[in-house]
This record gives sequence, C-alpha cells and structure tokens, in this order.
Amino acid sequence: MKGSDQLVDMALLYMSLSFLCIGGTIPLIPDMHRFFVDTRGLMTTTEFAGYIALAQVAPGPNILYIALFGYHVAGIAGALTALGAISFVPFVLMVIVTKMFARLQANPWREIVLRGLAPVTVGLMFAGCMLLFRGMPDWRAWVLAAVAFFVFMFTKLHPLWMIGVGALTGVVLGM
Amino acid sequence: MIESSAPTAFVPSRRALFLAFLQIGVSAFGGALPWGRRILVEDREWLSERDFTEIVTVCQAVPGPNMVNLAVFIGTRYHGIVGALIAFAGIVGVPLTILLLLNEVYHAFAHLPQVKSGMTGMAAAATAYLLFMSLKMGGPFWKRPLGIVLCAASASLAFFAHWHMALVLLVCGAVGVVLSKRGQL
Repeated sequence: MKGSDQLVDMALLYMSLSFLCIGGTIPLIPDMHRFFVDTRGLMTTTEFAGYIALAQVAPGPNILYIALFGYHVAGIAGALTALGAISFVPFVLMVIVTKMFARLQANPWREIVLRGLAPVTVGLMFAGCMLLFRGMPDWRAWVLAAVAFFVFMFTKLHPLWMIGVGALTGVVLGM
Repeated sequence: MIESSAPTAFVPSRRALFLAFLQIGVSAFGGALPWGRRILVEDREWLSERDFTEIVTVCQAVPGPNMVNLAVFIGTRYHGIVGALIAFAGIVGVPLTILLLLNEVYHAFAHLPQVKSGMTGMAAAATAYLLFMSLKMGGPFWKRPLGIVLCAASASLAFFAHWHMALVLLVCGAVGVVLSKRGQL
C-alpha cells in the first residue's frame, strides 16, 4: 500500500475515533491495536506498547503516543496527521462548549451521562491493558508488571521512578 | 458568559497564554491535570479553585484528552479561536518535539539487545501504571455491583469478542446511562 494511502486511512481512523474518546484516549487502545497491529501489520505489539511507554516517560499530555504511531507509519507527516486528526473534532467541540458553558454546567444530564459512561470507558481501558499484557514477550515481564502495579497502588512513589526501575530490571534480566 | 467567577475582568495576553500552557506541557509527567491546577490556579491565579474543578468536569464530558480540552477552553475564553490554537500549540508543541527526539535516540540504539530488554521492562511498568490509572478513574461505580458488571462486560466485549469501540460505547453506554438515570451507578 502506498504511503499516502496509509496517511489517509490513519487520518480517517483517528477522525472517527476522536468522537468517542470520552475520558481521554486510553480507551481507544483496543481499536488502535486492531488497526496498527492486527489488520495492517504496521508494527508488533511490543513496538506498540513501547511507544506508549516512551510517551509516558516524556513530558506532555499523554495523547502524544498517538503522534508516535503516526511517526512510525509516515515520519513527521504521519505524526502531524495523527495528532491533527485526533484533535480536530474535540477542538471544534470544545470551542462551541466554551461558548455555552453556563448552560452545560446547569444541565443535570451531564452528570447522569458521565456516571453511566464511566464503567464503560474504564472497561475499555482494561481491555487495552490486557492486549498490552498479552503481547509481552516474556513471563518475567508479567511479574514485573504485577510488582509495579502494587507499588503504584500502595506507595506514593512517583510513577516515573518505577518505570525507570522497570527499564533497569529489563536490562539486568535480559527480557 | 461565566457568572460565578470574580477574576474574569483580567485577561492574560496571548504570549502569557502560550507560556502558561507551554509550562504545563513540559512539567506534565504522567497526567497533566495536577500541573494545570498548580499553574493556572495557584501560580497564575487566572481561575479560582472552584472554576477549575467545574471547567474540568465539563471538559471530561466532551470527547478528547482532558488537558487539551482545558487548553482549548481557556484559550477560547480569553482570545477566541486564535487563543485556543495558541494554548493548544503551547501544550503540545515542545513535548512533541522532545518525544520525537527521544524516539530518534531510541531507534538509533534499538538494535542493541540491552535497549530492547530495557524497553520491554519499561513497557511492563508503564502498562501497570495505565492499569492503575484506569482503576483510579473508576470513581463511585466500584461500590455498585451493576457498575462492576458493566465494566467487566465492556472489557470482555472489547477484548474477547473483539467488538469495535463504537459498538461497545453504544450498547454498554446505553445500558450505563439507563442505570445511571435510575440511580443504580
């Protein structure tokens, strides 16, 4: 497939997904995984998970891993296309919302809808995490993930430290 | 436009707007919202604590990453669409450059086995962090049996049945809104 076709397809994917990303882009992971790994074979699950991890250790809003997927497919043009496509609809919607903020604030349905969608978005986030876990090449990575999870859960350690320890553990154990 | 806030008379310049969101962008590691609060409420005093919380709740109801939505909201409020673009560029521009450079460095050494191993370990810990964040995001529904069932059903339909996200959101979301309307979530 030609590079420009990939760009158009990716832009369409993100434009359509952008309507759905309530509560951030993490619930989109299953659909993105399907596109980049399963259907198109543009990257492996390890690469996919690696990009998400890379974006977490770098500063900035965590949508930026989406730019990395785009970069993997088509360089800078891919990065900008992916970021532009995922941001366009929310951008326009937010500009409109800002103008009618007071009315939205008073609307009781806002709270009802948000409450109703919360279990679904969290479920989709879980599905994404499970996909990433399933793609891990080594059982020791599972153990490491379990240990890291308990550290996040029960200590106040900044997540970056634990992610750094994870990288070091990977090198030492040769995962 | 906004009745509740006292400091709306003050309008930051476009430059100040850009710099504030640039600062949020480069300070934000693993979740930008706490930094947004610190910089916009505590340091700059553009918003009151209450304003900030209310704006964030509205940002959460609109599709898109919360922090980017917040940038667009604040930008639009002070300088219209141009302001929104400025704030967006501020929060995304520099972090994107840093990330692409980091990515180049990673790929330059990606063939080394140690780098591959390190990346695997890093991804394991980072995925665990995602899992932790999703648990924390759940909020009050964890205390409701039906909420937990709905969450498990959504996860299974996406993971085992390979449903597209749109379908999961449509079907499970409809169930969720009905449950929520009845006060069961």
